[in-house]
Amino acid sequence: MSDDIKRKDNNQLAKEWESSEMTLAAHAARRHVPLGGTFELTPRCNLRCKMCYVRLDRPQMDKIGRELTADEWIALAKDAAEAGTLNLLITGGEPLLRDDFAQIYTALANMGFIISLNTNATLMNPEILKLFKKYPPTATNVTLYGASPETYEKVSGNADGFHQTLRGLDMLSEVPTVLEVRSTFIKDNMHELDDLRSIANRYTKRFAINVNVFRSLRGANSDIDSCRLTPSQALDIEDANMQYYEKLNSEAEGTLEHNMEIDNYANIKDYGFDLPPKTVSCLASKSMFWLAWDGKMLPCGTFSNIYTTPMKEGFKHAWDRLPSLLEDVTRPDECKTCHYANGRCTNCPAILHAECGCFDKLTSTYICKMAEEKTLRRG
Amino acid sequence: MKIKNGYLVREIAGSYIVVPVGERVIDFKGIMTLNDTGNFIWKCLADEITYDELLTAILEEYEIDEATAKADLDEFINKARESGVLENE
Repeated sequence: MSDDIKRKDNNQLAKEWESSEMTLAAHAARRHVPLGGTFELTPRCNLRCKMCYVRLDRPQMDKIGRELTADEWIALAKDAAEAGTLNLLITGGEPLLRDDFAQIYTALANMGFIISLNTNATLMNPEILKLFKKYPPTATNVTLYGASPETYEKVSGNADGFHQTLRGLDMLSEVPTVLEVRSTFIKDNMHELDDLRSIANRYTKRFAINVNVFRSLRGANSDIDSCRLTPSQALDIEDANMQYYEKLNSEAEGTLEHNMEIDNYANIKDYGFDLPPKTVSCLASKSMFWLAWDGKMLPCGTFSNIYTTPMKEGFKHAWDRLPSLLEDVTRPDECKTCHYANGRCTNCPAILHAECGCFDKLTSTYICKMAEEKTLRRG
Repeated sequence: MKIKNGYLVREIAGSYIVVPVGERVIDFKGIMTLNDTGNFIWKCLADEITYDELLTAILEEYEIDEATAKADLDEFINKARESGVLENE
């Protein structure tokens, strides 16, 4: 079978999974089964993106806790599989930075998960390529931060990162995986939308944009005040990307437009059910969990202070207890009656906490201004 | 007939789901969910078995008539062939 045919088959597989997950996710949430999990293998990263919400240096990390060992991740994966986890996202930091990545990945790839991998691709090497050719992740999401070494230097502090990422993408093109290139936009790369899409399209038609940059979490110290887009700039990027796909005037190509936030909200609505804890309108803690690098179980990666401890209390107990922690979250009065809470603002307590440092007081207007700008433009 | 190596049937949220494992991710052509009968047939196909033997096994396991059992079995086999999970026959 040629590589092209294999790739097509895998694309078909992913497409079918995407649609079937809807039903399965609903089943799972109703039964409180942890269908989707994330393993954040490390907070460390060889890039130093100024907007990163999670990156820690080793000394910062050591002050907070310790990374779980390979054996601990593998044991947690067995517990997760036992509890019903099917979709598993491996992320970081940069997961390939771990010396024992191959050991962890090989074990996980043989447990019956549908694996997705988030990576910046800069650390791809012949050994990892061989591993992925043998055990391909079903989906691989590669971040692309700039269309030149200069932009990479500005965004990630590493000019070489540009060519390293392209080399990584070259290697990943040999892997029968559903490859997606994702770009997060800040002031330093906002002028490169078309160039980034062109580079992405050399490797895959799947190009996803993200314009939502929130404050750092769990001890990380990003510099978003100097770099994040104003709501107007952020929506200019989204609109320009939308227009690009509209101009293609092709239904097939048009469906490839991928805006990570809009897609997430559409999914929430499509589930069409309302389950406790009602403070979150997504599936976090209902059928999804996030295991942070130090073993804490969070409803999703945007939370920081709502967690259980599977290493101490056991995976199942930690999962069963997780939703109850969200029941007591009190939201700001303004948000309870806000007319933007209709999808223009996702009304997400995790984002609110990241922005304001608490759940119950609206001390930052960034989220509100973004919702206002969206309403102005899109009704 | 026999199911290829490299697949697991996982019971998740009340559904039986066929997932590829390790190297099998490369050539699994679609998703496959199984009902109870499907799960029973899948288990029978772990070892080499003929069509007639399968039909007999289903009739012994379930209280159904031969025509229904045949229809179920044919549907399963078609699905399994389309998904490419059967050994080359």
